[in-house]
Amino acid sequence: MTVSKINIRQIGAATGLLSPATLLVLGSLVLPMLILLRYSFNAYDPMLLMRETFTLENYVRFFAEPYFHTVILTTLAVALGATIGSIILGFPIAYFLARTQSRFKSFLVVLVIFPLLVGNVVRAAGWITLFGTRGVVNVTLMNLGIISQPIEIMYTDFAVVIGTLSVVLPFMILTLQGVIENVDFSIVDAALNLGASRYKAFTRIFLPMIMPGVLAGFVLIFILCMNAYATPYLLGGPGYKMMAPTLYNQISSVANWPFASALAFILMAVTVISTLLVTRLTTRRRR
Amino acid sequence: MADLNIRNLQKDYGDFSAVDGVSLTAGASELVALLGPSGCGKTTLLRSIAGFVPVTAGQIEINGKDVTRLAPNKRNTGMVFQNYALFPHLTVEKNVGFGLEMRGISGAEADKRIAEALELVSLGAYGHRYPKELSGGQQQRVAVARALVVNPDVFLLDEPLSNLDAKLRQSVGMQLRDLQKSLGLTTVFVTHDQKEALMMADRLVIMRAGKIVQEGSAEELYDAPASYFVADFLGHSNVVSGKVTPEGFLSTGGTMFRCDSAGMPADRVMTLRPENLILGPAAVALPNSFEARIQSITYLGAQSEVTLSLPGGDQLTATHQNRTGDSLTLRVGDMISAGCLPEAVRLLVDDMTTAH
Ligand SMILES: Nc1ncnc2c1ncn2[C@@H]1O[C@H](COP(=O)(O)OP(=O)(O)O)[C@@H](O)[C@H]1O
Ligand SMILES: [Mg+2]
Repeated sequence: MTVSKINIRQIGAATGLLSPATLLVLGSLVLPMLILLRYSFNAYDPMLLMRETFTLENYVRFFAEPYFHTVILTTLAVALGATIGSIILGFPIAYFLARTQSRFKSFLVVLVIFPLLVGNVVRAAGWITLFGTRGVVNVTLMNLGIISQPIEIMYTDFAVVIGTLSVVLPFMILTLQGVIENVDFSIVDAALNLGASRYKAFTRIFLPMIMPGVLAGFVLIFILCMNAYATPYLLGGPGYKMMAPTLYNQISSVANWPFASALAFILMAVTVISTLLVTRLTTRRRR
Repeated sequence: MADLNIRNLQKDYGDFSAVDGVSLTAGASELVALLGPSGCGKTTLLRSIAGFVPVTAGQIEINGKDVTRLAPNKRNTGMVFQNYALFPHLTVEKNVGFGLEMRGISGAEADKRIAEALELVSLGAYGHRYPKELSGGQQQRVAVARALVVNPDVFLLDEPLSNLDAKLRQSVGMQLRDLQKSLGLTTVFVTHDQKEALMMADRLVIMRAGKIVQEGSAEELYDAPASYFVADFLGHSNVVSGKVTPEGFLSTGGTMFRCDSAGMPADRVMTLRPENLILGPAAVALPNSFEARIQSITYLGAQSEVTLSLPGGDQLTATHQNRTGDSLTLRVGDMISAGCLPEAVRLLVDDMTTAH
């Protein structure tokens, strides 16, 4: 009996210690979400702005209007492109950082993190000077005689993908570096010892071993990309059809909170479903 | 099975030599143990044979063929890694079959050889398990089967018993040795544990700081160590400082140990194995005999370790065999007769206290 009494007291103490943190999480994360969820079932009224009711019309509108199909598809395409691009570009760098014995390793890691110290907006401004009609890329290409007219790079999907990729690349590199540093390379040696070429050891042993970690990196970065706001807005233009800018537009220019809330939940659902799908597809053949 | 021939192998990291001019041969179906303290270069030497370490100088021949500059996957060595290095995402079967697959062997032929290899290590029923579902001993046997299924020219083992618990070590070691003998595998085996080396090896190679200090059979090395380092590393030895005299060795404490000292340089140290120091009445008639005080007794079951303090202050440890009904009683503080044969007294090069 005393045992259970102690247990109860311990649980009580633990709850007491945990409750401030729990309350903070509840207050700052869950509560706004619940409020937004409720908003998404309200109706928009040009006079009142928001009318309390319970309707699915916001969700219906999203699925009915082709414009929003383009928005969600563009969002998925940009996020997928930037994520896969960051894996392809980040992997060699991460591999090098993980394996190097160089004394300058920590300096190199700082170099990777450095762009994160420069804000999103400043970096996008940098891309603008590069991509603009009179930017570095166009001037160079024209001076080399490769093109006669400046090509439009700004406000294209390409500019948005490149810009988003540059934002998430450091995160991808650091994630992959951690994954590769955890690999026991004597296992790769064992493959070589058994007659595997470097290529075979890489594809048959190394890649499958790091796959779960790469997948975790993929999911993390993909979520970041799906929710990108500043970069698409600045490099794609104010009307760029991605979810976060569109959503914010609904709030800032038409004050349509119910529809913006519905967009938020659709974005969340699509993100969750697509990550689950990718995870399922890539782990199907594994145990 | 092939033989292995290493000549003047050198591996430098900057101005530090991990392997320093090592020449070594392993004949067909011979089991050679590389023995030495941690950091003496054993793993580096083994990994050089497998091709993982680009060597600075020297030559490695397998079966008369120079493989020094050959890639690891072209050498046909079978290596068992210290942590086994099993492929975590592949089943036991697929682990064992990997080397066959890389050699383009598949289908029924591969299945048959995988089954045979697993049978060889008594893991026939475990083919579908994943490495993490096996015990340490079973993982070790998978690693052995995986290395052997491809019929390697040289079998390389890096501390294969060090990750097993003490009870398993002896039996797994003997099984490995039986396997090696029955398949006639030319084997190089790395260990820092002298018991393992003595138990398994046909020939022991003692390494220190990248160099070979002595090689020979277990008996040769144990009975006739070439230096203080070897005497101390293989088994235990009492070490006595003093000086060489025409009659033998005069300790700093003033005790005379008679032995053959003809032609010995003066700066030697004396070593005496504890089991060669005899206690009680039997010691009185020996050419070297003295009275000593028992300073401490450590009871170890079959034996006791008895530390003696000699009149001049020298200390010697004796291993005393405990027998039921033995009339000799040992008590701390008592005086006792102790002695040894002149042959048991060894005057060796002092390579421990001099700079190395
Ligand atoms: N890649 C390396 N770079 C520098 N020194 C190394 C490297 N690999 C091994 N060493 C050094 O070489 C020595 C021998 O190492 P090793 O062969 O692993 O010893 P052992 O297996 O006998 O314990 C050690 O002092 C180790 O620090
Ligand atoms: Mg080692």
